[in-house]
Amino acid sequence: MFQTTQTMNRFSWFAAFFLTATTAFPANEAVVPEKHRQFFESYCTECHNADKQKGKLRLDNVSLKLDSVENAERWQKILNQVNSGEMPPDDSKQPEKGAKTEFLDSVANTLVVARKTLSDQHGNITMRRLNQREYKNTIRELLGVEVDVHDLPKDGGSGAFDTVGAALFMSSDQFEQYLALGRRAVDDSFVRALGASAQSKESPLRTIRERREVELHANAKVGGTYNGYYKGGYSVAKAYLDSDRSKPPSAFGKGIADEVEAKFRVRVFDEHGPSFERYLNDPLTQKGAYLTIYNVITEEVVTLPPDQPSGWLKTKHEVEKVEPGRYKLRFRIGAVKGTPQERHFVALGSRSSGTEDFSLMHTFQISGTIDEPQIIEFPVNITGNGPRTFVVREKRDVKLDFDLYTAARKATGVGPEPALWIDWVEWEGPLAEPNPPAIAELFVAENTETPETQTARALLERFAVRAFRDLKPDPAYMDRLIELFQVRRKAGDSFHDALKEPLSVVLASPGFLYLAEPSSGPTRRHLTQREFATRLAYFLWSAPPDSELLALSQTGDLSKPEILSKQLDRMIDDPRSSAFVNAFVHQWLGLDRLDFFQFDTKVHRTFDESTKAAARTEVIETFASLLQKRKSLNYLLKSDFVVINGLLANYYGIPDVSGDAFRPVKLAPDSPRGGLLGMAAIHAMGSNGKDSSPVERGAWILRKILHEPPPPAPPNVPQLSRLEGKLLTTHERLMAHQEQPQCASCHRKIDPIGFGLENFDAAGKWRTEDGYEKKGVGKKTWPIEPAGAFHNGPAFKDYFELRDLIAAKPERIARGLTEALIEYGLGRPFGFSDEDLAVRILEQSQKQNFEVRAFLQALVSSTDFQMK
Amino acid sequence: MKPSPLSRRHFLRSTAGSLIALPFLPSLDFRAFAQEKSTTPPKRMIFLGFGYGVTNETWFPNLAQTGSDYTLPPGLAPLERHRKDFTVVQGCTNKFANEAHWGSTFWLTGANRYAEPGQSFHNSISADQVAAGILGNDTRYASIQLNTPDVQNSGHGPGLSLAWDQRGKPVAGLDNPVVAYHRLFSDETLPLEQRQAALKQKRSVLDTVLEDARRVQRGLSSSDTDKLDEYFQSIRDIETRLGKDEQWLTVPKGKAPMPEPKPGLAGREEIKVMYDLIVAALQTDATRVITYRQPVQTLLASLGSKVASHDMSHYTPGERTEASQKRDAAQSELLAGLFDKLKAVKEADGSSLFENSCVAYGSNIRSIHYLDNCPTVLAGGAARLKLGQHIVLPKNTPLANVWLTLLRGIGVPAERHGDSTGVAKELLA
Repeated sequence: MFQTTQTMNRFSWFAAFFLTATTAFPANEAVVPEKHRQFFESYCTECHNADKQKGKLRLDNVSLKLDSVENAERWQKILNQVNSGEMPPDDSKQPEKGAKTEFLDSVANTLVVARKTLSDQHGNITMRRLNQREYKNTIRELLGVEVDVHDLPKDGGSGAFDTVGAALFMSSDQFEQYLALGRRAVDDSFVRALGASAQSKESPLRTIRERREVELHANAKVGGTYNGYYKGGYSVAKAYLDSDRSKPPSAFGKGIADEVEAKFRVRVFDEHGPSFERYLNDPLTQKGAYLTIYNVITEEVVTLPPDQPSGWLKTKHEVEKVEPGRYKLRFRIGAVKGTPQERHFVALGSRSSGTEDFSLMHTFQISGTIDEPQIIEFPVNITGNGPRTFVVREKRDVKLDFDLYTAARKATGVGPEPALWIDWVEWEGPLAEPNPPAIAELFVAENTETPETQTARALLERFAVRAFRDLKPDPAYMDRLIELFQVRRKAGDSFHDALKEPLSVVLASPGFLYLAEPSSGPTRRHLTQREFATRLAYFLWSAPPDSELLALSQTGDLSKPEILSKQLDRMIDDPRSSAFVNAFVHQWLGLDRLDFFQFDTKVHRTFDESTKAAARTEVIETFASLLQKRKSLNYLLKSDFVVINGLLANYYGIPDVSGDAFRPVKLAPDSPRGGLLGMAAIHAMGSNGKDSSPVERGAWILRKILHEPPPPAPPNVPQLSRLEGKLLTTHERLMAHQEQPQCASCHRKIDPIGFGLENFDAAGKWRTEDGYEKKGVGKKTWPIEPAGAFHNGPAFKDYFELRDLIAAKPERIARGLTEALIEYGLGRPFGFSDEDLAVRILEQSQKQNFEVRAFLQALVSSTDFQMK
Repeated sequence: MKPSPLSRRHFLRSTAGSLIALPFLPSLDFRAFAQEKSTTPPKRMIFLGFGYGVTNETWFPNLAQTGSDYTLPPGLAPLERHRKDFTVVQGCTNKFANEAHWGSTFWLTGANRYAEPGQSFHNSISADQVAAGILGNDTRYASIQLNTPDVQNSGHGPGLSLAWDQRGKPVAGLDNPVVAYHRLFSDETLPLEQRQAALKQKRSVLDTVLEDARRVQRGLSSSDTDKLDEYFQSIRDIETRLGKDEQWLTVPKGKAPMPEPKPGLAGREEIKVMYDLIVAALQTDATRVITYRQPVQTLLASLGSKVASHDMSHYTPGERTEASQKRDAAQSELLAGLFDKLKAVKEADGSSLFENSCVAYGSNIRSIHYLDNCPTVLAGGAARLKLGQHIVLPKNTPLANVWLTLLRGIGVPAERHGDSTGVAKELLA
């Protein structure tokens, strides 16, 4: 639609958009336009005709209609040959650039359509297994415990959503992992179940609260290091160096081997000693500990037994080991007066035993002071094999520590002033929580009248029904489970222990692992109410249906419009819906790209792991907020508010926002923020961690916001290398894309949009200048020039105009969202046969001003969502 | 006074050596039995795939210099000391490959992704699994798949390892060297009787889940039946494995010729230790077919490069090209190290492990987005290849022809593989 005429004015450009919003979107017939036959006749058929058939290829009779795999393959080859520049051969007549560009553009896009048409599944939904997230959530709902699904193979990977059955495989290794994970979960849940009823003083399962005054540990460590290594080493070294050297260093004390080492120890004492002295002389270190940078004491730990803080001062834990379950971590902390606001954040991470790693869990803004510290509380799940050490440190990229420390030391003689002070740390748990019914049922008092096997069978069957989401297992299967029970019983296991094996086998059985919807015959059928409840629950919660949904399915009321509508609202309002929001938004908008590279924090100093995590959360929380508050999707394009927390407000320079909760914040009228285009995460994805990438950004906007995805990057396109060693602006470099038709066919659409976003640097901060430096060549800076025009579309003079043009086309992102929801919700790729469904969802939600919730409403009440 | 740590370690080493001799005997017996037909050492295959391609300008030898007299370009230079023992092949392509960032998905299969109408993804068996069908009969493990945890950023494309099974489904890989080590060398400590009981119990577990699988299967549509078939196949695979376990129940695993790897190795260190594991697994005859899907991003990081792997593969002059070249060289150096080790291991008849192995090293991606002329290095004496050569095959020769040549070379009677059109005779000695 963009490739009509160059003179198209702004009005007709928009008219074209509105026209297509309500009619069918892409042509669902893959046909290369007839006009390109002329291209063939001019450049190809001289050799590839009926008589010559060079390379055994005839193009004079080639069908322009790509309606079979064979023909699509043939066109793919044609495209490849022209793209790679092999055809037409160098010694024959060459097409004019413009014509070649148009030809490549047209063929590439027709092939995209052809692939879709040819792979259309005509509404067929392939049965699928639970993906990692659903498996984890289902185990939690069933057993009340967390499993570490890290060991399971990653889902998806072929570009589909992780709910698409055809892309979810099963292998023997995976089956064995399910068995092992299921067993671990059953073990953990048994421990927990026993704990819930065992709060006596002797029980290892009673809730314990253990506090540690951090100064004991910190001062032993800091004092020990200072007096031992630094000061002690210094006095020995100094005495040796000042002597007449007739005696070896060992005559003056321990630890110095030779003169080189003696000199080194004198130097490190001069360099680092003062920072230790400052720490030890500060009276506040008698009551707590500072969190410093690079040297002295950079972190505090909360350890659950059997883990220990460090060798410096072991804690005497109240018990030797705590059992899996839910725990609370707490620490009392305050910010040091006079230090900058941006340093008043503390990062909490987990650490696996015996390592020095730090895996970020959460970042907290500290508003408390040393006089009035605040208490931070954070819940954690302790599993049988997961981490038990938790680390608290100032939020930052520790890779920069040495530079920061050295700079401060050179300026003031000591390391950077600490910004945070911590009073104590503690943990509490395992918290007594009610057992989920599936587990509670196993522990009801046994009726001694009934034979044991019969009891076991009844318990196992009830468990299997729950695990299979309200479906009764076969008697033959129950017989086998009982045999497993009996074998364990004979081997000497207690009644309950003998149940563990059959229970974990249930969790590796197809009835649990697969969302099966039987369908014999070629015609599609309505889902049963139970199947519908299951599909709904896995769509919105990534978890099994709860008792309310199951009850409604048993009475047959679930699909009644008014009841379904109420249930949808209830499900969205339930915290479990965050599983949907997180997983869906992450995949829909391709947020995985945020993890593709390490950010260069030397250039983007404050874009550390905490900021990156917050930037990602902003995207998710914004969508969640629109969904929860019944707001329009249009706010993703442009909005007068952002959904941020204190950390991001600080990062964006938005005043008067503090605290860790994400909430809507009103923006100044001239703010570039508001909507996806103003989000740091979106711009960071459109970068390589150091420099912005207009190409990535432009392509992303076309794909996700304007719903005009460029064809996949073609293989075998010649590389542009002639710009080697030149100092050029980003603009100048990328203009090379326009020189060759192979590049221009896509980049003429992609690049202008990317240039319009150049005011955002790689970490999403606003800038007005960019620069490039190359060793041995020189340095160059240039002002950002965002002005440009859509290919065959309207011009914009800056980012704000670009954003307005994009925001005027909500139908585009609405269409993208619709297709993504269909794919995610139905668990199969969006196909051409879904056209009617997509149009209906769009029409229905457009009536409600594209309210985000309306899309979900329209999808779940559609016939397709209730059909196998 | 404390005992010196050196003498203690020394002591342990010497006792371990003498202790191990006794239980090792039956294993030798078993192998002698398994290889009754011949006393020559068995043939082995190693496939090493590295996702994103190489630096075009500095990795491929000059097309004008073919045969044994050619200059090794900088990207391959670290292999100089082995130049008589490997061959660089140019001209091969998987003609159906069309995803510019999938360096491993179809590398060993040569499949057409769109071969099945109505499906957006299809694959077929990989060359290593074809080999495992024959070479795997006499070893504890028919094949071993090693994988990197750095899959996401290494340009491999879909898959769980380099291997795809008979039905074109991905075969899982071990991405943790420590786990791989224990799989290869750690024996169950339980008494035989208990291990037999455990095997029996595993079988009843499988019988139980199969019972439920049959219930689920009732009334499924044909595409769903196909899906559930993956489950059935998984169970069958485990049954086969249990059968093997049973057969090997009384045979202790080989003694590890290397120490247990340190946890958390990444990049260059990961590759190095995986190569050690490959040699160790072949040396102890735990398996005869190994694939390894290698890291790219973490390798770059371990070389001190800050460039992201995808950017590296789209090298533009300057930092990215340098990173790409550095990575080529580092990989070649690691490969040279693997050759050293394979050569150093002597077999029963005095030949080296290298002489009885066939190594293939490469990627489906040449460089950037190019999918033609897949970088290919072949080595080892097992497949009767012409070594020490730079061979340029006719343009767009199916890469599957090379795999077919290797398979036939090691004695697998394959008629064709993937989109092969025949054996590449040019490669044969």
